[in-house]
Amino acid sequence: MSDDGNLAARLTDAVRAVDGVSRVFPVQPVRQAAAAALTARPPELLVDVDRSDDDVTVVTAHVSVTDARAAPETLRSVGELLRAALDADGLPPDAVQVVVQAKVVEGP
Amino acid sequence: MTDDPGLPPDSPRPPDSPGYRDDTRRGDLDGHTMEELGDYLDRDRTPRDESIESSPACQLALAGMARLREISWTALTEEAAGQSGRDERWIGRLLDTIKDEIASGREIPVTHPDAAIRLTLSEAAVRGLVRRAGDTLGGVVMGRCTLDGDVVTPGAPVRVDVTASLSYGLSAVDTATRLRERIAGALARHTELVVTSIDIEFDDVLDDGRRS
Repeated sequence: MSDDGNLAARLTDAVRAVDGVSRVFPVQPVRQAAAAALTARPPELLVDVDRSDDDVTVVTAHVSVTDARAAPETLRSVGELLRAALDADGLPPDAVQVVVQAKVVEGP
Repeated sequence: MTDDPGLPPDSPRPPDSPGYRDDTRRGDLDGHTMEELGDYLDRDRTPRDESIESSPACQLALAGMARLREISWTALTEEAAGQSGRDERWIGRLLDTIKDEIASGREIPVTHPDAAIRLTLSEAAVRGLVRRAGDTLGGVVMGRCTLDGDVVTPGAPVRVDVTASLSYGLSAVDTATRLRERIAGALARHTELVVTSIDIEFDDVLDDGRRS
């Protein structure tokens, strides 16, 4: 798996563990489906790492959040976690864009 | 402003900007149909279908369908009730509404002091939140939900318009008050929208889970 694949897999695991996150959806469902078709246990590349822009690396997570925690709090936790992980990975802070979207707010 | 989920998102981020994805197609269930999702619910979501479970649109549709089935189980099963034709049309309209509202729509911002962190809720997630608030109140079945206003601009006033069916015998005024409070509470908890009004129209009457 590529460096970005490893990074995406690590970030996916980290986002999944955030309090209030019930599910992480694939940002690139076609790519995830292709990976699933190629191997019996595909890596879960649900968080997307996009370096197509020369100036900025865009990391995107699509999540489902639970009603038990206010959605804005959960989204901020996810965004700050991703930002910290990218900082720790050595990416220049001014060359990173983190995008987090709640796609579903699940009921109790 | 009138909401039309078939239009491109009314978002400050242009389509050629990093991270932009157009997933606003009206009623797009990521390759599935409402009938397939209904069958999947019938099978208690087994065997697990990853293409359904990993689709936000399918998850919203399944949640809406499951609640609708709980509420109107009698209507779905009593073919001899004499009203079954009308009930089927009513349920069909509600299913169409659920399908129309699962398109992601606009991106509703959640503020963060770090400009490098962009947080949003999809408009579909917020409509699903409003729908659940009503469907779990008791005595009403939610119909259409519209967020009317510039939801992509923080602080802009937003009006919420909903339609619902009301159980026979309940006070429309009291139920509307309870429904309004419940929707306002859910939106205050899970969004930063500035809701200026919640307009409720009861457009049908239910009798013991069926339309009367």
